[in-house]
Amino acid sequence: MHNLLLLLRHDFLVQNSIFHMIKANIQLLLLTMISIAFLYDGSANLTEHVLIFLVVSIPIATITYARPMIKVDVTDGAMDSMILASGIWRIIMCKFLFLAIRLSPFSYHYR
Amino acid sequence: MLSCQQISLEISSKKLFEISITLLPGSIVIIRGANGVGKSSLLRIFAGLQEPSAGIVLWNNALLQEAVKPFATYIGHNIGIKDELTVFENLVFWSRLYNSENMLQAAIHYFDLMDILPDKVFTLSAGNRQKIAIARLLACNADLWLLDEVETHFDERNTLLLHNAICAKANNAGIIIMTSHDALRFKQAIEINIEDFCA
Repeated sequence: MHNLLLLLRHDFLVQNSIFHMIKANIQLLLLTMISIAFLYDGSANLTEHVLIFLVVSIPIATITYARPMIKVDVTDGAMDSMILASGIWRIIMCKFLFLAIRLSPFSYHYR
Repeated sequence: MLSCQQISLEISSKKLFEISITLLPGSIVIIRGANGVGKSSLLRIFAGLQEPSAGIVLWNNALLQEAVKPFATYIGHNIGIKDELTVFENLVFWSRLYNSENMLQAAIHYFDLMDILPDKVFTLSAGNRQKIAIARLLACNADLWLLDEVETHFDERNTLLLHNAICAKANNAGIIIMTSHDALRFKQAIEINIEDFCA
């Protein structure tokens, strides 16, 4: 558990330095809010609109975020060292958790 | 103790090597050979990062996959240091991951990294980056060191520091396996020319 939290924190630090994650997530949140506001015409069910939006945007966002997140670790050699220190399943779990955190602005609307 | 039983590596139906070796605590092994004969691959097999085509690798009589982690530290051509983080952030992360924060200060002082601790790694020279990689090695408590041409970019002073660190590790029952060109020489080292094990 301690290692998992450590890996998550490290991922957050690195991703935030490379991709300015907090800024990007706020922009994404605003973008989705504005998009839904424009799409919603008042007569239709809002939940349906949001659901369609999520079905399209979440897979795209997952692919977009996951690729650089893993590629960075592989190319700079950190992945090898992390596997040696922590084991592969813990790293996979960490990446999934981190991806879920990164995608959380999308789920915010559905709630 | 690290033991390899008839491990071989085949790439594109060509067998690169077949080797059996047992290393006791305190061993220093230098793997030599021409480019492309499989030195780095052999190190990765010892680390459990690459599967051999045949044979098994045992760490303290357990298969590598079942060995209690972390037992090894590996520094390859890509040193595993994050450019976007500061030197200190990098070293703290690795020492925590290996549960050896108590060794962090010693590693920092050994390579005289105090002045560059707050600097982002991408601002540093190749030599300084390599120093951080070796400092990471010292900050991580592992019994097996796997070093792939780590002395590259090092000046005479830092090569000597690395040499002394390796000797100290061996004297503390560590096992060091490294690929190297001619910069590092050890009295007690076993030298393996991998070309002698080529099929």
